Amino acid sequence: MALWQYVARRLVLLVPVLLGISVITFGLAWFATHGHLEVQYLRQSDRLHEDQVQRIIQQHGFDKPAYVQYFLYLKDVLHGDLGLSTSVNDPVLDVIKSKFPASVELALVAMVFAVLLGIPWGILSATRRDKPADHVTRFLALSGVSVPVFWLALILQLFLSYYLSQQGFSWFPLFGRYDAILAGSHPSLLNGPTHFLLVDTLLAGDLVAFGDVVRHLVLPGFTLGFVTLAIITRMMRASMLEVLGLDYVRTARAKGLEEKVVVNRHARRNALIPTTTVIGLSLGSLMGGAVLTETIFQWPGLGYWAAKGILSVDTAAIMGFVGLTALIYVLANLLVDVIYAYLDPRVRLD
Amino acid sequence: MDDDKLLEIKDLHLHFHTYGGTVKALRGVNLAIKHGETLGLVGESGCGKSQTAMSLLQLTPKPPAEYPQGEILYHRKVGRGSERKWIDILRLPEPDLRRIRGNDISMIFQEPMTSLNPVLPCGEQICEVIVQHQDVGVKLRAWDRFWLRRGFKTRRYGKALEGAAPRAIGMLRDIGIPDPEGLMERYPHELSGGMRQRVMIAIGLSCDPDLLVADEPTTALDVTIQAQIMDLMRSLKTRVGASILLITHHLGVVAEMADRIAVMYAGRIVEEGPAVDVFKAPKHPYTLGLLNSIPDLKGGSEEGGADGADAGAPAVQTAQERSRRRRDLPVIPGTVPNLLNPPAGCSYHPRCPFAFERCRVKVPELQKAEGQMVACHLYDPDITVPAALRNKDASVYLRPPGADGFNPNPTVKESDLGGRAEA
Amino acid sequence: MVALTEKEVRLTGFRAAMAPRLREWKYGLYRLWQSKLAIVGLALVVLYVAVALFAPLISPSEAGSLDDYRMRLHFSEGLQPPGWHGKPFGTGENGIDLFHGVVWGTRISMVMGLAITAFGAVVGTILGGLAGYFGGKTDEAIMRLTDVFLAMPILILAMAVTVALGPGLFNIGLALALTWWPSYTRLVRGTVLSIRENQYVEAARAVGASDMRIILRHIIPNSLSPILVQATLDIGSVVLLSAALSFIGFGPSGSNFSEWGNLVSRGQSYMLGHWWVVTIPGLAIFGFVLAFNLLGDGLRDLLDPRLRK
Repeated sequence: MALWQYVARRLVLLVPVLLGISVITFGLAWFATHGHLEVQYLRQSDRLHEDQVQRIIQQHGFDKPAYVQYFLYLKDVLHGDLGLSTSVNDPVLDVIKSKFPASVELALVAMVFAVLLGIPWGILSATRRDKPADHVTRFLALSGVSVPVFWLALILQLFLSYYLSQQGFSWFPLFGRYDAILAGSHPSLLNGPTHFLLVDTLLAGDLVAFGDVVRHLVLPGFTLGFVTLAIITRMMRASMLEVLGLDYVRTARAKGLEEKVVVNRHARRNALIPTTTVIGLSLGSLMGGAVLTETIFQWPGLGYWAAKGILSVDTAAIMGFVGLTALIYVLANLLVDVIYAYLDPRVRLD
Repeated sequence: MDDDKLLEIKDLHLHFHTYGGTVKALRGVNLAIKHGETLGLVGESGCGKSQTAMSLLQLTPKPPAEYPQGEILYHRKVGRGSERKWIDILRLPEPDLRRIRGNDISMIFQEPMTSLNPVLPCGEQICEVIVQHQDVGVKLRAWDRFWLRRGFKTRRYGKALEGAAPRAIGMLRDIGIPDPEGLMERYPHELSGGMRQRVMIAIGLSCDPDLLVADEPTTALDVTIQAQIMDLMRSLKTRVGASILLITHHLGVVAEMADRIAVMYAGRIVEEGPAVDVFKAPKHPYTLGLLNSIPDLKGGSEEGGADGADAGAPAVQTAQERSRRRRDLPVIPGTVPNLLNPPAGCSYHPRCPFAFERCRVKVPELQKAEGQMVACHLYDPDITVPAALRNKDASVYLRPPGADGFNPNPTVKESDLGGRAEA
Repeated sequence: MVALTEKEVRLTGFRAAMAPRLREWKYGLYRLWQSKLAIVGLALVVLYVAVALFAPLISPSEAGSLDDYRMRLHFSEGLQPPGWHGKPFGTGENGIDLFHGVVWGTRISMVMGLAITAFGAVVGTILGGLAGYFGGKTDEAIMRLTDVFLAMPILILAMAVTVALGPGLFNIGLALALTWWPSYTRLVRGTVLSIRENQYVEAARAVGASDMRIILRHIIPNSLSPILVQATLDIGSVVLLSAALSFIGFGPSGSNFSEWGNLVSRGQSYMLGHWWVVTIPGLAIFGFVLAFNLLGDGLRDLLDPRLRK
């Protein structure tokens, strides 16, 4: 079938999964607050009269059973009302909109870093199997998946930011997206059209600000991307090794093609196929890692907001974040499946 | 060096270094192919036929594999004229080797289902070998090669592929494919096994090679498709004029196609000669057993049960005995030897009904025996060939149940064979 | 059929039957030895297990501590570098002995890792086995459930569950256990499906073997090795996640609890200028996960039938 038909089918199959996610999200929040916390809170408040409390209860349906509340919740969500985030005192949807660019910029940088380095390294490791380059790459990749993300972030802060600065090399700042002092005289950092600072500063032609943004991106980006880099390298190596042993690679050699052509034109495209799946899955770990990384680097993104929300039991924030993450994850995997279908013509017959 | 010889393998040894030791896959292979002839290479699984074929194009990865001894001499075309030069493929550097692969010597493999790249259209897979070796009117520059080596097609490369397309389509049409233009666009998984094998054949013949190596081309296909492919190859053989090295364990296939046959066992050639002669008068005991283990629809083997004069056999055979013998299929007892630790002397002696002392000790060399070359001590000048072998009596392979295939026949002594009058 | 060597053919009876299998085992050991990374992993795992087991001997609790896991506070001895006064790892805030913390934290991590992985593996295997073997509606139902769980990144899911349950080590463990089973379900279901179609299962059924017998004799032995590999790797992942959750703040309360994530989290505020409070406990986590990953990778290479020969 054509590619678009495949995509359409997958989108339709998406709906039940999304519903399932909404159930879990709601269920967890319900369980956490035992459904009655709001009621108790309201009752405890001195400023509200009993009648007013009753009215609020009826208004919000707090007295209704769980499944009814679930439908009310769904209705609200579909209308764009995700509740109020108590930790920042803004509607959840607005918070998401404002913090989205920061997280996405960081995630993109991390992902690009991981993919651009991981794929060639994986191929290199596979073609130089059991040679020193292979052993080193394998060990580094294994370390990459074994390292705790939060610890890596702390170590980088400690040694590459703090101790380096002590020695006089203030290359990498400790926190944030940009230098607050600089922001005063470089408006592109604050007002830019997209709020993707890399883009905004370039659009404004402000190279000083651009440099500052880049410096702030290095440590968090590396931290976030490191684990994904390791995963991609390992997967690429494994699938290259498998493909290089297959018959059609032998056919390609028997045609008299150069080894590099055999590896990069014939083998690589086939080996990329399982790797794209892994890239999609690792987007999930990226989302999770973002919470830790953003918190440690005080990066003003969704992850930091979620972390603060968790600690202050900001129910709406947590539900919003969990739901959003799940949505992104599911969409990302759909995208990956589409790319898979593009790369591998066999799948389209599905 | 005979001028009608195209390729000569001399004393080729191939070792694989594995965990358990060194597997000696080829132990002194001697083989020659003439211009324009079809040589059938037969033998059981594991005897080394595929390895011989892969060695011609040096497709076996060298770290585990090693060629400690031997030469592969190829009479290669030089320039555009008819001048040829002998080169040793084993000592050839990689760039020269690449110029031979797909161009002077090409190969088609056993598994058509997996031999084509699933993510590239068939047309590209055929055209790329043409572009690699032939002039298609578009000259590739360093820039194109640079990107090709990184896995990307430049526009000029795409044009080169298009330039090669007419030739590819013509080839496909010659092969009998009804809609060649359509096939060029399709992916391998959209084709049946027979069609894929045809594409492989097209790839193999597209650059007009001197030698086409076909490694079990029909084994993985249905019987009816097998017949089609064999017909195709036979017609190509007359039209194309290339030599063909046909490797198979299917004797019927070989019978139809080959001019000469070489029989391989445990890494060595044991018999070699014109196809008709080898079939009609097998000289090596292994060939005898092999040919006579072909089931005949009438029951029993075709030549089972000697009706010829054999003074050693019981004088009277009851009708019962004769019919029983006709129903029994002679089977070579035992199994192929483990090449980690092959038998000393003649590799076949543990299973050979005629084996005697010399066979256990000395490796037989290929020697002339009427029209064929045989590697068997029974044809040594001082030994008389046993009557059973001379009479193609495969009943020697009919052993009572429980016979252990690893005991050389103890009843045959060297003294029995030397200078003994016909008995 | 494996070609027997000349030597092997001369053996008779039982020895003849066992010869190829013994050769395979010798081969397995040889390959294990070959994989130096796996050996290193094994050694490290043994080291950690030893530390966990012998914690009381290695770092006896001080008199006056509440329990083995809570370290005594010495307010005047805070934040001293490693080697100070016989404290090999130095001290953290309020003078807690980091060596003690790391040693006893090994016990916690070991228990968490093993318990959660075991739970996830057992539950996941049962569900996956049921789904694969019986197919149909059971399969559909279980797979939908698995899909929903797998649609969320584990950390997020675990965080959400922990929010619902409240802080504390036990709740972290519970949250992780509840979210860990889906990968086993997928794995086992896949294996069961492929084995189910295998000839020898059909043959067993033809001979009249009951479902239970088939499951026990054929399906489980063949699924064991991928499960084992996955479990070994998972022990590391579980510990990573539980340390992360503990770091965020869901872990045990109090600054003197011996749990690696907690130690790193508490140390974070003081780390600038005192590198050891964060580096050392984190290194313990890293080493632990690395050990199990090395071992798991080695096992995977060892047990993968395609890589044999």
